[in-house]
Amino acid sequence: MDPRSTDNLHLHEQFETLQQQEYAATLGMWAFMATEFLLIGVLFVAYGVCRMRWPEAFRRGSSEMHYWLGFFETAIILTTSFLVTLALRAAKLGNNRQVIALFATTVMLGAGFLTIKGTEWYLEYGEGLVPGYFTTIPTKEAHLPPDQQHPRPVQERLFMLFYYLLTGTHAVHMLIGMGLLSTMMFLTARGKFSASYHTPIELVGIYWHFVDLVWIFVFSSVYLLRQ
Amino acid sequence: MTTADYIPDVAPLPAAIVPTNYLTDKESLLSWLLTTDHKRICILYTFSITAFFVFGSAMAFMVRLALLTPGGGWVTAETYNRLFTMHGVIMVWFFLIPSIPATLGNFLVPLMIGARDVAFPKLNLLSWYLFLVGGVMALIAMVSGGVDTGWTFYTPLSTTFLNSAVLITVIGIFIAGFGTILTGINFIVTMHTMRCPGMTWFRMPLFLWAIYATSVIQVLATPVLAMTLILVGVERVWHVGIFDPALGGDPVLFQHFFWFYSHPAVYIMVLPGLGVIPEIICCFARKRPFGYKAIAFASMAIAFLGFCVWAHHMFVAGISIYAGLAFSWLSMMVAVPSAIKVFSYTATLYKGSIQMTAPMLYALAFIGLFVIGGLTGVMLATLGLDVHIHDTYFVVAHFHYIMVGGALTAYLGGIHYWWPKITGRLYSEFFAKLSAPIIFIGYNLTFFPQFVLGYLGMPRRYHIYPPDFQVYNVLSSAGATILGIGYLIPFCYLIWSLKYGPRAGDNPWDATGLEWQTPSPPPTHNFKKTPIVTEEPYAYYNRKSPIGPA
Amino acid sequence: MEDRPLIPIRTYVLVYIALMLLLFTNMAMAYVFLGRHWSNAISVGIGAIQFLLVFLFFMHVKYYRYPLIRLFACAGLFWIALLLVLTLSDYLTRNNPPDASPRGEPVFLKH
Repeated sequence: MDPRSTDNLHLHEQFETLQQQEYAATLGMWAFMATEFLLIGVLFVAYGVCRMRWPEAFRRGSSEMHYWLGFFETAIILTTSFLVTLALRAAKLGNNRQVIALFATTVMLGAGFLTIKGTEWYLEYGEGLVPGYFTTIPTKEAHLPPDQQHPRPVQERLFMLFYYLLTGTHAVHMLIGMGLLSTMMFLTARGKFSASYHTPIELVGIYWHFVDLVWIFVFSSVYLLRQ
Repeated sequence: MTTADYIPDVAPLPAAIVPTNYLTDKESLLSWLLTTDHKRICILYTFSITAFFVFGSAMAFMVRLALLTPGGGWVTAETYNRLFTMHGVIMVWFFLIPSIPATLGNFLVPLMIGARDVAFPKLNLLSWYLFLVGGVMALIAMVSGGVDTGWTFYTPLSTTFLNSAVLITVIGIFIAGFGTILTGINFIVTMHTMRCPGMTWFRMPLFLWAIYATSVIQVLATPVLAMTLILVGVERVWHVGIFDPALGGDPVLFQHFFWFYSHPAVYIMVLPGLGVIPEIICCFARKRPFGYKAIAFASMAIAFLGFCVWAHHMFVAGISIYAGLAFSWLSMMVAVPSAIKVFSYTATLYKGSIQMTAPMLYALAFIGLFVIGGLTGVMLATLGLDVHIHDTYFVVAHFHYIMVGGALTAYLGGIHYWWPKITGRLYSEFFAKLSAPIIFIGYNLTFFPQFVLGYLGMPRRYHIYPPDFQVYNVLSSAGATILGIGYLIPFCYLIWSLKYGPRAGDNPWDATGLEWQTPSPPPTHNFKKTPIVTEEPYAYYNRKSPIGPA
Repeated sequence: MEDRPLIPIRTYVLVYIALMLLLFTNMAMAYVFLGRHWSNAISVGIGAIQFLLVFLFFMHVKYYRYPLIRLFACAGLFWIALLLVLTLSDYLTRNNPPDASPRGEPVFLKH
């Protein structure tokens, strides 16, 4: 290894070469992604099994979702995924200003996502859908006479629980992702990364895409199965 | 070369040039607590898991004391439930799962592949802290609040019982689980990316294959446990009904998720032990292993198949008969690679120059006890038989044969085998050879009667039993006492050896493997120069004949 | 990064457009009544295609030079599939006699 090379700055002492270090970092990140897939996957499997057992109640649950808000959320998160990919490309080319701009936009869009999510949760609380504060008669119909009401099946509470678990876990991961992106922005601005070394940016990118993947499935299987 | 072997020609060299090892290099408490050296992390883990082991054993003794008399002994039913729960939780999550991987694995993985450290040393330290925090949390919760659900936390008992200690215990296990995941990721990446030149996969010691398989299981199974525990916590707090039949849930769903983790978890506990044994056997039979590739692939096969058999814990829980059939067959299949391994180890002994050192005694004990445990496992996998013996002492005896007779015996064997390397000292061979048979006898006296008890129908987790069973229970408790004494003896002589044991040379057993090519204890960076491997593993045919004392 | 080549922006843009089009399609399907099973399958199917697009292109799983990285990436998905399939092997094969409750209680020792 050329002692004059600046690669040495980033080389940790347990590794021989920078390439070995990057390979190890990528493998490690994907191994961690496998654990994340499994963590969230359990929720989806449980959701799937319960949906199979109570199809009518879950259908009713899906139909009460605010899927237009969900649509905007999905559009936002797909866009952030695109922007992060562009940022990774910019990092690979050493274009630090683009990286910062793209990450900043992503963080702002993420904040927008979370705002919409919070609004949704608040609306659902108002409609009596939150487990623990669940009302069998939808709030909109509370003033109607009993024969015009459509009471919710008791298993819809289960649906709402999965909804909150999935979107809640997703929101937590999104917050962590936004924190990581901000850290990367900060470090890039300080000049820590270059075309030859930007491994942490790659890893954070992979994490953010994971957040996107989870949402895609949440939207398709929780919001949209309304029939 | 250790400091003791250094003989000055004229005058002692200045202290700066005297070689240090990982133990003496920086000795402040903070340098230990903030270390990223995998060898020091091994020591940290050893202290912690030994402490947990002592606590878990104390629980076991109290259980066995309570079972001396049919009428319930000196504890109430409630307390008895808490005792066996604590015993199970501590022994499974805070002793057995970390035992060999986090101690011997941490120490040996980089050494055996010729690396300076693991791939992510800081994550390694974080793993220890997560383990410690989680363990202490769970321990305090169980002692102060009391958890009586059994280590399996079956719903709806665990989700509807009012005592809140379940929640904190579960959070503690959750936190410790992330420590396990990070360790697994660390070892997998280390073995893929940091092998020294010439160290191909098939030149690696079989211990590493076992650790790799274990790490794969740790990475893929533990997240499922994490989410399952979250679901239990959520159910406790909000009572929504995922697992509660009264609200439309299915308790069996919990069992599916729990056992999807916990069955592979038992392979986390036993695979490393299965990896320690060939190291010991090949060294003290002075032979290559019989069927190296078969053993290596068998480790991977156990790791994979172990994920496909979980519902054999649920045959009588209410799963469909067809699922029962599938899982029964798969459970028989997973016995095959285990058998391949154990029989290969036995075949390795054939025509070897056997030295009955203490580690070899443990290894031989392992083979016998693991076979009994494994065969009784196949018995349990048989659907018809399982209906009769499920949830009886037969199951208890089966898994203790694997966990204690297998994993713990291998752990002790491994500790003895690598003790000179880790500490630079030799233990007393006399006391080691004295305690191994005591442990063996005590162990069998404790657990063999339990097979009989189980077959006769004594249920597990009951604090009372019909008086006809008392004989076996008394035998079992007597054995437990002998076993306890047996475990105390190594504790004493090993610690004694730290100060008074003769210094070990680099390779007191004249073993193969890169870890023996570096001083005992190793310097902080393991090797002066990165080794280059040209030899096949276990090249005992190249070695001189049996070694004498170091 | 040595691990993968530099991908042209055009690829990313095309994938993004595809993702958005799939999103619009999925929303539109909410208004088309094909019966519960088909519409569910299509909805989840579109989600799966979007998942694969992000997974293969944005996460570069398709482009990694080392097959081992691809293996690690797919391992988690494969394992979840294992959990799902084997768990369903229980739930789908339970006896649900017409007179039993809809909870799917098994008839384990049916005489």
